[in-house]
Amino acid sequence: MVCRLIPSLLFALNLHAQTFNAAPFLGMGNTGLGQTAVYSISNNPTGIASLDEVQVAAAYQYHFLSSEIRTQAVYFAMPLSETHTLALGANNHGLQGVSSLLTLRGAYARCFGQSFSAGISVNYHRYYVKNYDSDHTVSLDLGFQYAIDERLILGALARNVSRASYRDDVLQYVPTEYGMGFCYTLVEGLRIASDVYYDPHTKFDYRGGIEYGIDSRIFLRGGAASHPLQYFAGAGIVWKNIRADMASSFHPRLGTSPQLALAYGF
Amino acid sequence: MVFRCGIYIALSLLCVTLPCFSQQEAVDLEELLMEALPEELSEDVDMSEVIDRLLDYQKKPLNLNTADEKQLADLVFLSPKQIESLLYHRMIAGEFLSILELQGIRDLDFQTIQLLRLFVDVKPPVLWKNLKTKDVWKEADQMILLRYGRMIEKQQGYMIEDENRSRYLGDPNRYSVRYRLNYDNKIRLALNMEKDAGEPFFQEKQRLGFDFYSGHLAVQEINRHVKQIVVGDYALQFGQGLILWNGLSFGKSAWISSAARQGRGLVPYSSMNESNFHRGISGTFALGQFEVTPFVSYNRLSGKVEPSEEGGATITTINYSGLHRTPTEQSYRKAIGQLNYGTNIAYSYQRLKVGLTYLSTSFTGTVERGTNLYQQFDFEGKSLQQLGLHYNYTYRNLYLFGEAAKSFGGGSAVNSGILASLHPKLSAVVHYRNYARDYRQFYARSLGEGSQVGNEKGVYSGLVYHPSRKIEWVAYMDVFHFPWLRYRVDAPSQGTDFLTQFTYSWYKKGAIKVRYRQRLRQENLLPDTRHENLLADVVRNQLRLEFQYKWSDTWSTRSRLEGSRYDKEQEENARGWLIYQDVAWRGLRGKVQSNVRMAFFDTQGYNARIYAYESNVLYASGFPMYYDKGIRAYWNVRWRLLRKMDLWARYAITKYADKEEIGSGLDRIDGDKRSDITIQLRWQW
Repeated sequence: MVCRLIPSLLFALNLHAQTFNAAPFLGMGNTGLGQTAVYSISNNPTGIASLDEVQVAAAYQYHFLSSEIRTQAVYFAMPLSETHTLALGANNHGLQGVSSLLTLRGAYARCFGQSFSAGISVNYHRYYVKNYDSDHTVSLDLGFQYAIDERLILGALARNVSRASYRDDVLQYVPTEYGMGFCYTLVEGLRIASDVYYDPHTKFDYRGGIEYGIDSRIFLRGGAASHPLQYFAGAGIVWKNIRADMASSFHPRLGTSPQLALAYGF
Repeated sequence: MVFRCGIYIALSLLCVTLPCFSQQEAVDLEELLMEALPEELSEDVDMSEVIDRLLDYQKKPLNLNTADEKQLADLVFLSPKQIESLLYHRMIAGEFLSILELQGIRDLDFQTIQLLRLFVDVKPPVLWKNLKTKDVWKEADQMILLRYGRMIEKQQGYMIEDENRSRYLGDPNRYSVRYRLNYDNKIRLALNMEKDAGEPFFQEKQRLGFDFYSGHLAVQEINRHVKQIVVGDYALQFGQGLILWNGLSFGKSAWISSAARQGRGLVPYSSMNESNFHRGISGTFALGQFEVTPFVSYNRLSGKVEPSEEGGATITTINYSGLHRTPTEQSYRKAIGQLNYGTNIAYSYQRLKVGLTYLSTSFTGTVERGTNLYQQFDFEGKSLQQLGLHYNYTYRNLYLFGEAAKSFGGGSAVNSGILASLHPKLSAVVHYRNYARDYRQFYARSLGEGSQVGNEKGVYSGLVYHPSRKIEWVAYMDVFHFPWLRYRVDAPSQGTDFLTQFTYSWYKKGAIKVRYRQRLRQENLLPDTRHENLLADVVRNQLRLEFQYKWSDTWSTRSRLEGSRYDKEQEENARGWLIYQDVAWRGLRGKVQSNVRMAFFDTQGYNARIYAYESNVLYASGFPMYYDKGIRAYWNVRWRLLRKMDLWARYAITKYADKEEIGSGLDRIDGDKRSDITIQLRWQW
């Protein structure tokens, strides 16, 4: 029974697990297609193209408070030149000691001129339930960003363009989805972002978020998404080369899923 | 002072570039308010208490140097944050030298200032010591308004002659009379009388003529300590409305900031709604930083009263409709006595305001709650006490507000929110509410999905973005949960409400609006294979396109296309659409105004119904529902007969396709059309 229950639970949370967004993106309504950060590795890989320093980051999320479901993630991004950036990432989602949905990512992004950039991410997915089942597969994501000006960035993503999937008898799937979004900076310290995703399974998902800087170091974030319908809120602080962010989703049925993320730039 | 004069001159120069906005310019106040009201309000929502006050201020503008928070709250288009900023500006910079100073107040945008200028000015205050009764009578603005209306087709309820059957005892005519006296917003006297269709007139229990009489005498700013005294009918609005909120209640709408309520405190009652007000005496007294509003009222309510086994009376039904047409409704009329008393104490310190509200409500009998499971936590007993604490505080660009209330012997209700001006072009609101299932109240109205304050938890958030004067984008989302059963919902349930609206405006010319709204609620579903109800998701989608344009000083038009879609899981799907064209004409040097509508609608039943604002004679506009298939048309005309006399007339007709009768029960009409006329005469002096 337990063996059947656990995959079912994981299946229900499948999308959530495999499209992990770090706290700065999560707090803004799970957006990120038009944003740039080391955390873009697990979102739109193009977002790492404009990084000008080596950055490492880690995130930890505790899902729905009452359950034992956790997500851990690590990120590493290294600009090779002004126009080329390479990055690695990993995130693991599951019940500790029982199950795991692991994704390892290798990403590369490049700027083509001042406005346009593109990124690609090769992802290794492993599904594992102790004493029950396991499988693995490899997928490919493609992303683009176009900066209309310094304040408005448009982003697009095709996730799993390779149509990778697990075996037919595995109760998991690698989501194939297409997204478009933007991030607009109204003034220094105030940004709004919105993404729209299309997934043949779950249809459209609309997301929107806002970030407000109380000053240049402290940021408050909020947002909402339509599928599933939930709120997000978060806060971030920047101190020298360290950036700490926390955020949570608020699912009306499943509850709160707080996350902490830390990034360091060398 | 020199500095202020400098600002004044600078602002005067700036203002040259702004288009002049004449005091005389006609603003459709009812239409303005309709934007802020939830469409699901009943068809005959009475906005007259708010319209009345706005008309008063149009004639006798509010003095910016003496207006207090509550008077500014009468201008319902101002958000609490804007009111607070205006008062703070006056506190810091001293009295206004000119109305042009409004442009220097951070939270007042261009559109708001243009609107505000119609209702405010800067002048020396009126002093009581110079007043003579003769002058008051002579100089006061007075108005009498008579309205007549009736449905032309005969309804079933008027044709029954058998005295043992339910029937309408009166005729289908509707009459109302309004009298107003306003002396410079200092003294107000009002008298209202109304007879609804089907109610007896000078017969039965209405031997004195009308079914409903209402009136008040209100005196304001008597001295430094006595801010206001009202004798007669009055409304009370405190805090966020968790204990007391009489009168119009603005909720979730395209006016995002209306989530933060600005209580108007004690307000003379001038509406024709026959419930949800107080009849007695109340006053507001200022003592330093404190303001105290004690009140006492005795209301006669309609309802079913039966003798109880213990010898007292048991109240099994309270009817708030105000209709007394049938023998049963006649027997309910004024059968219940309700005594209310209490007080509100408010304390202000700089930008913080805290208030305490106490309300005691008792009945002349014992109220008995219903026997259904969903009514298990409703009020039962002879009296109810409530106590609440409310606050609002402005910190930089944030306006924080909230209230917590407790019903003795029951649960509590809490709400709290933030209204933030993140940028001159972007504002946001977040509002949290938690109303216990056993929170009991009789006069609470606050932001929520349910019609009552109770049995609800939710988070409401919204954004309004003005990238330029021409463009406005609004969005809100509300996620809510009902922890206990509700009518036709046999389990705890939940839902969402999402709205987004984009508006492009041509200043003083027109606008294009696109609105999308999706609402999700849960309701009972009884599948064939089961014996008990399950919950099914019910989704309502609504898409609206609207174009309004003023082609010249004489002609303007409004066109709307709206589609609706209703989907109940595993049970029913329904679609509907509505298209209408309004044409308004203004001629004979403004003496005659007229507008017509032609609407076509086709919905698959009531569930796919569409609400649409309808223009009517003054004080009578509303949101009728359009459902089934047919054509609706109306014609309104306003004719300024004399300088002081206006005449309104209206004819409206709905013709249904494929119907042999309209409505049900006593309201049934044999035939496929329903038409209605209204005539209204106003004399002002």
